[in-house]
Amino acid sequence: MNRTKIGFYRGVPILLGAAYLSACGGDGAESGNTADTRTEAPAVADAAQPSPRPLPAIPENYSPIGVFSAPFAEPTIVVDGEVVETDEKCITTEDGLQECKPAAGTMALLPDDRLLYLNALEGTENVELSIVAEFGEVSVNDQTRVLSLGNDDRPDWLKPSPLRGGANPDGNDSETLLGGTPLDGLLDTADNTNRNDGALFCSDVIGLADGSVMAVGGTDYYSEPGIDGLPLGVAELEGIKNSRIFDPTTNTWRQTGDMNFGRWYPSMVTLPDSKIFVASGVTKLLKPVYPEEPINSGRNVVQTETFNPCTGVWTQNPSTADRSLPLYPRLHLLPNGHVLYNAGGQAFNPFGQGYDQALWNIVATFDPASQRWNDIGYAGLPLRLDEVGLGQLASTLNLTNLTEEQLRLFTEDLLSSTDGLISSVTDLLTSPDDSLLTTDTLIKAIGGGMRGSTSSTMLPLKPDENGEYNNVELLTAGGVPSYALLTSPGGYLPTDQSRIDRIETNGDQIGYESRLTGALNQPRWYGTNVVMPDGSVMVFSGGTRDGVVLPGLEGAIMTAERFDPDTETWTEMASGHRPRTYHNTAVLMADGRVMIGGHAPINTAYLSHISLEDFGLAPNDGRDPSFEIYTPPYAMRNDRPTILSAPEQLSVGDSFTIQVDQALDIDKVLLIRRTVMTHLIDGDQRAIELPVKARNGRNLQLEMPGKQSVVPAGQYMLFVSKSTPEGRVPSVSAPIAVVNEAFQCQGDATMAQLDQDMLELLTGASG
Amino acid sequence: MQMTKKARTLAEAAVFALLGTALPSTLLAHGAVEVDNAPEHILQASISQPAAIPGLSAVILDAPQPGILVSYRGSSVLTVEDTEGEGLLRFGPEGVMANRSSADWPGLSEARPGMVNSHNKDSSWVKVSATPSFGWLDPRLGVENGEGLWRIPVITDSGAQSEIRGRLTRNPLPKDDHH
Repeated sequence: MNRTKIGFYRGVPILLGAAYLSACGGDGAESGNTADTRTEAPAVADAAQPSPRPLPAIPENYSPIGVFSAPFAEPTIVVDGEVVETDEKCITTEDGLQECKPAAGTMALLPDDRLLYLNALEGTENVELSIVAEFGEVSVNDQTRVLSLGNDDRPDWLKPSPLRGGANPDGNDSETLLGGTPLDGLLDTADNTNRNDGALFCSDVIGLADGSVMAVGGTDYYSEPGIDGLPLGVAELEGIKNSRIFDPTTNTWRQTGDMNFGRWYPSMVTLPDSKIFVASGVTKLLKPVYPEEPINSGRNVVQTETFNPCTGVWTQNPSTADRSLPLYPRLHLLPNGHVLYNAGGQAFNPFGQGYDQALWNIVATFDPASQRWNDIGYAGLPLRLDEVGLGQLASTLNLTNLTEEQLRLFTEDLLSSTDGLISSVTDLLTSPDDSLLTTDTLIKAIGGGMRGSTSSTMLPLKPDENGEYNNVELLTAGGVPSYALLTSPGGYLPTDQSRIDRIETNGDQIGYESRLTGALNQPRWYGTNVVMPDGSVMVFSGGTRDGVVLPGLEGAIMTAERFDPDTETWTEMASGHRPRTYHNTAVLMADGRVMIGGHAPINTAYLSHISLEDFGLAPNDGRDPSFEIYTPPYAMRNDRPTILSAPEQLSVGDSFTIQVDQALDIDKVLLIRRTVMTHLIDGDQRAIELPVKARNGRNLQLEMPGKQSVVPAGQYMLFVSKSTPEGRVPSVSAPIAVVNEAFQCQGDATMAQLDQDMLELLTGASG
Repeated sequence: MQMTKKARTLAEAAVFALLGTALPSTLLAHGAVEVDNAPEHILQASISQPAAIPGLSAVILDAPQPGILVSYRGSSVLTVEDTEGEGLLRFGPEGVMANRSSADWPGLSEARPGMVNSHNKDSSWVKVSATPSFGWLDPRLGVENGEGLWRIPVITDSGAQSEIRGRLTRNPLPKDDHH
């Protein structure tokens, strides 16, 4: 077990935070506020050098709702080979095309606290008429960047190599409908350019155990039908098979093994053995017709695969591991090693859905040992109605509380249920008074079933009285419920409802039950959730309507909300400065603040970019390359506890010691996995409460969970926190690498080299 | 690969959609707001009478092609019959088994070529879930049945017989005027 004393490097974020606060209105050092006169360790975690003067615990500029920083963006654009400094988002080149700064449609927190981000929808700025007619031609592979923060949060950008991930430099072997026939290539533009055959857009990303980031799948754009040279046709977005790995130590992308299936919008999860599981995605977004596999036409990729990071090889799982899932299915690794599908995702194809979409309403688990899926039940049922839940249900069933469209839907449903049908509600509902509810009514009232365009967030895992982690609670708030509508993915109007699904595992046995929490303060489409180090969950960005069904008419929601796990209620917090609807991102940083980015909307009404901002709608005039930093109330305080030293590496079952400066006050320790997310999903998202086993002065003895299924190998952040009247106050984190000692290539160098060797062996590449 | 009638129909429909419409709708991929030649109605299934067997519950899975999810936590083994009166699914203490020789087997979501029962390769019954629940696209709820009543017979090994009954209704598609 390697140890490190948290010195200057780990103190940088706190310095930055302090500097930031200073810039926002004073550091409070001279305020004379003596509410808390204890002399605490200085912000920089060096106990040997105490602060020259005590700071008030709560500075004058403290805000109970937190604060967003001013937006900031990359200052330059490369235009016609020259670097141009500009505040504009885009600059027109000599040939009339727009060159734009990339937006963070995908974002990952690297082990060294820098942020890797990937652009989204690159090229849409050059659509003149219709995105469907032209996107196959004007789109290009998405750029990548690494963002780091220096003193005073001074941002700096680095361009990885290759800049766009490097997939398919010689073109992608597109599976066109007429491929292999004499008409091959005549009615499609699949081979007219290699500039858009390996886009990172719509890939999924995952953090590998060694701290690298793997992007899997993505987009190959072309038109079919379409004719080379004519900007008229019908775009096709083909899911690609590529996998590429970003190495943060060299800032480079390299290619690893291809999947067996092209996937657009797949989801990945790290398994207990550190292999990577991938499910869903679609091979042809617009025209999912596969003459060679007719049974798979009209639906997403049902086959699943497993990636071995040591060999760089994807292996197709047996047919028992097949399952029809929505795009970007919300997947989580359970403590028993199963992968849970939480009946959430995105629905796009064809005509807004797959022909087997009905099955997406079912919560199910995949057992890697047996390679089988097991149906658990209808998402949201059974519902345990406590006081909060009854209140929420009553509120939902109060027709005057609904929007006009929701009112119409509910009215129609209720009127059609006048025969008093009770299908199975008595079996499905755990309620003190369920006599008036039918299953249909209940399902709609709770927004049960498949939920689109929202986060499925794992609440912090907690040990039971035996120190074991067997239960998981997942928070689903907002998004678009099915509403029994045909439209994608079931509705147009988002909900404000919030639900916790509790999954209890006992070996392979799995129990499932839902409960309603307090509702969001407003319905929210496409909000990004972030688990905070105080145990709360915050949601950022998103819109008031589904910006995919009719782009340009989503009103941006810039007010963040915070979910209190103790009261199970949502509270409105500070508001950001920029609208961020589709392809927004949010990532918890090592110092407990949140980096907010993204906004890459689909062109208004699928045409060209038109801003409807004057009408109170989101500005759909292109991507927003800017970032904002959200500082939560706890991060404004001067009395945050400090981790003085902690191990650099841990294994499951380890008993270990950390040194802190406020040992007596610290009552909670949270291990949070570094976020690697896109499109609201991070299949490895998790936080684990570690029990404090013993205390000795500044030393806290902690214990890691005993199973890799609770804490898969990867990069984490360790936070300690204390309770205060204003709420829980966490420290800045210490970096922890959780290793899997049974993994044959554990260790970054070994993994990388084995991967490369195997790839060369398989491809016969000479280097 | 042998192609089922349903799969063929779906594939043909998809091909027709591609070639017949040439995809003039700009919104085809993202929500079908202005899909040409879309039907005016969709078929929706509902349960009007649950089976009178303790421990059995069922819910409809709403979608353009409705499905059904059945959970059984009774003390005996429950068999769901197929459209020809043969056993289709068997709910027991070890989970749910499906009959590969059933006429409705190809429609089960889990039915894949080459899927075998690792415990008994000679048996036509294969495990499709280790839990008491299983959801599938039952042809009795399919669009080809049109409007009317549907019933799915169930029987326990203790001899209790019942049916899950429901109706299919054509509901108008939501209009886009609310957009």
